[in-house]
Amino acid sequence: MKSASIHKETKTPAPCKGAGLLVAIAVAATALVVFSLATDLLIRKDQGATVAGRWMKSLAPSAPTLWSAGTPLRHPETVHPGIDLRYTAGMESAR
Amino acid sequence: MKFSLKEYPLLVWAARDILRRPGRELLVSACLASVTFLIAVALLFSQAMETTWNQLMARAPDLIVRRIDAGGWAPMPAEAAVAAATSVPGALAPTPRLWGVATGPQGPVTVVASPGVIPETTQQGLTPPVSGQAIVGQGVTGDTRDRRLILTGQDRLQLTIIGTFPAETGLATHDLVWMAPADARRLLGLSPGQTSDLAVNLFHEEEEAAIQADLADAFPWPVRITGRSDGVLRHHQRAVHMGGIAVVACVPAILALVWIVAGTAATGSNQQAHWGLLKSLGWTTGDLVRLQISRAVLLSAPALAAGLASAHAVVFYPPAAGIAAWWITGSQRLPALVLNRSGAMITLLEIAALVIIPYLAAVFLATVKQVANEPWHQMMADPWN
Repeated sequence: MKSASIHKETKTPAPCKGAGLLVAIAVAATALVVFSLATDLLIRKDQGATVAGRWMKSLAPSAPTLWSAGTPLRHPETVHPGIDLRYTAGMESAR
Repeated sequence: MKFSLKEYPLLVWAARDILRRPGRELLVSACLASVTFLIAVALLFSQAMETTWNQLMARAPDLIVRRIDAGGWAPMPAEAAVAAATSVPGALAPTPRLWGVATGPQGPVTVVASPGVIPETTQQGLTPPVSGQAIVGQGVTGDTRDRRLILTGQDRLQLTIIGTFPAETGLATHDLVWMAPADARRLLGLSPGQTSDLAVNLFHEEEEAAIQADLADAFPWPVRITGRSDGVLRHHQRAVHMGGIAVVACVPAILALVWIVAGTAATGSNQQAHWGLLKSLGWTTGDLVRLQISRAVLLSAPALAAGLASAHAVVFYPPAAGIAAWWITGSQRLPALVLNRSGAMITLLEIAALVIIPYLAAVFLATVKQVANEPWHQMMADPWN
């Protein structure tokens, strides 16, 4: 039987370069992303809604243009306060 | 568990563990990032919509007073209406509004005449229209050819388009046709001196419900008063409804998270012999638990950060926001959403906790359960034995 022999003795049991690099990448990438998110949260300015808000103030519509013109959701002030004579209130949908 | 520089060798060891099965660990990491992304997009988008709508609704009048009769609404004399509203304490700046709905080339549009002088900072280069002219929203411009717009209401009116509201004002102006008061009266069938309704602001917003009875009594004809809070509540419900639907669409992603957690708990049983070997070489149970937690943190922290950052970009940055808008609203248009800093930060932290706590808990509990045995028993747990 041929005996096994160790030709090259090393102090480290296995190379750690790749593992060290992986730790560095994980820490750096996480820190970078968190820092970018925090910076964006702190310095972001939403111009679009501000400008739209100015026109809301100036022209005084009662709701944003999320629904079509002429519908009760777009112009809630046009809904007539009639007596509720619906067969099944809540079954209909205005969406 | 406190990490310090002393933990670095353990982190490196954990990274080596990851590199021993790179494909599998990459898959777990990608799954965690996807789950985080899907849940975060749904919650951030609905929250951003509500913030945006609230910000716009805050600029709307507190109360709208509208004259009614048996058949519907009726125009009201502007001067008499203003005088009646002014007599109520707490009602500020009653403003007659001239507006209505008219039929445009491709559907109904909202016709509006400016109730007052519009500041130059708001106009952004737009000149207020005079008789025969109109400024239209982005949704109306597609209907027109050769800058002519024909509207039909009580009368038929042809106007020349002299400008278009900027695209970023779409949430307020998309379907608007802004015209001169005389044109609006003609189109809507109002006499000079008549107005569509009255916008009223309040000294104290909290009085909105209480002041309505006094205001209604002050008018010599029946009126219907609509409060802004009703609109705010309606928009809140709409945002919650859409967010809820989007979260329901994330159910497969949440099941994937459960699968990852369950898979993590099951993985330990395959490594019992390995852990037994390490324990027989001097590792303690605490060392092994810390090693597994380090491995889980190395995998999940970048995945979580990537998922949250992608969701943030997809909701708040216009080129990418088309994906979120299409997914949640089915629309091609991109609303310019407002970021609520504290709300978004809390949402991001909540989602991070929602994903990482079950994952780390599964790793911790599974590891503790597996490594608490004697090394001999663990080594005997190897399938070869």
